[in-house]
Amino acid sequence: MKKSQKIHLSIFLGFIIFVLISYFIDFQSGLNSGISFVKVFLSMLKILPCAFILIALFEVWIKRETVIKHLGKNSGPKAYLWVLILAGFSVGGLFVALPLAETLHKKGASLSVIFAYLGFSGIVRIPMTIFEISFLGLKFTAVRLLVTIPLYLFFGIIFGRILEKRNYKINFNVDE
Amino acid sequence: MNIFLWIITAILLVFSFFKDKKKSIKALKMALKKMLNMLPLFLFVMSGFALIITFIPAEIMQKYIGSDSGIRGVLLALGFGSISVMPGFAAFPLCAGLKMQGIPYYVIAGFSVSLMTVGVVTFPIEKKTLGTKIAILRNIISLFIAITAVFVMKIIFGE
Repeated sequence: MKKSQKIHLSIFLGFIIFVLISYFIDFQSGLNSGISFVKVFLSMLKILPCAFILIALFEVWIKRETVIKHLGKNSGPKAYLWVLILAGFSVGGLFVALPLAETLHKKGASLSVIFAYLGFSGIVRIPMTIFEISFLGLKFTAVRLLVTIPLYLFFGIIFGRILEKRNYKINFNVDE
Repeated sequence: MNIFLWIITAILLVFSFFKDKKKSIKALKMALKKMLNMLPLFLFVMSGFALIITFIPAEIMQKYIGSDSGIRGVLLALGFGSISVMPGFAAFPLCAGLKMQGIPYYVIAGFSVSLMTVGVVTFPIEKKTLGTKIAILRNIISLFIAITAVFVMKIIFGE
């Protein structure tokens, strides 16, 4: 078990003890928090298994490598579609997106494509999106995607063009 | 909504088994493992959430981030989203909980979109790679995109 998991579990245990003590000393608010926990937990239990099965199915059936293979030197409109799909595979935000941006860079992707990718990787991660749909509904997620994807596409194209004119270089050797 | 989710999952799962039994079993195992891995964080978030909704009265929550909170509520949501680092596995249950408390969708969008795109805490890493100026610009633009999302949500959900 990871350290963070142990910390989370011990805090949860503390919460259980707090609710139990509340019960014995007749502390109504404390007891109420226990009741709301059970309520929320049960409603989440109806969603969670589905969300995780969907995420796993996605990961088993669609491989990231296949997507990267398609990212050749073309920086035409298709490249944006491929980085959008690639971003769907991102799991850990910038930590994962930046090294992948380097791969894109080596493959000859333009700065516009790279900045569009960095934007996309924050907003279209498939596992996260499945989770979002499960908890907030399809309408919410659809609206969010329809607003943010075009904006990041637009921003990526403009930003990349301006920076390319200025001979801007991304510094991937951050460890030095 | 829940039933809809279960039906879709079931259909996809049946389809997956039909195509490749081995892969599907692997997926189910993966799902179970991921879920167990996430359980401690989930229990932690849920207990924190239960404490918040019990000890912070709904009226106060409504006052600060409810539909009548106006710009201030949106700013609070954007601010919290920008400074916190939280996996989606923790953030969305929290958002769903806020929704149950009657917090409008546009405030939730302000929090969740800025959480996904604006990174105050991850800024040092971004700075190293992209350079200070570009990293700042990128985050400011992300903040504006989050604000746009808030506006559209407000119009579409009409809360």
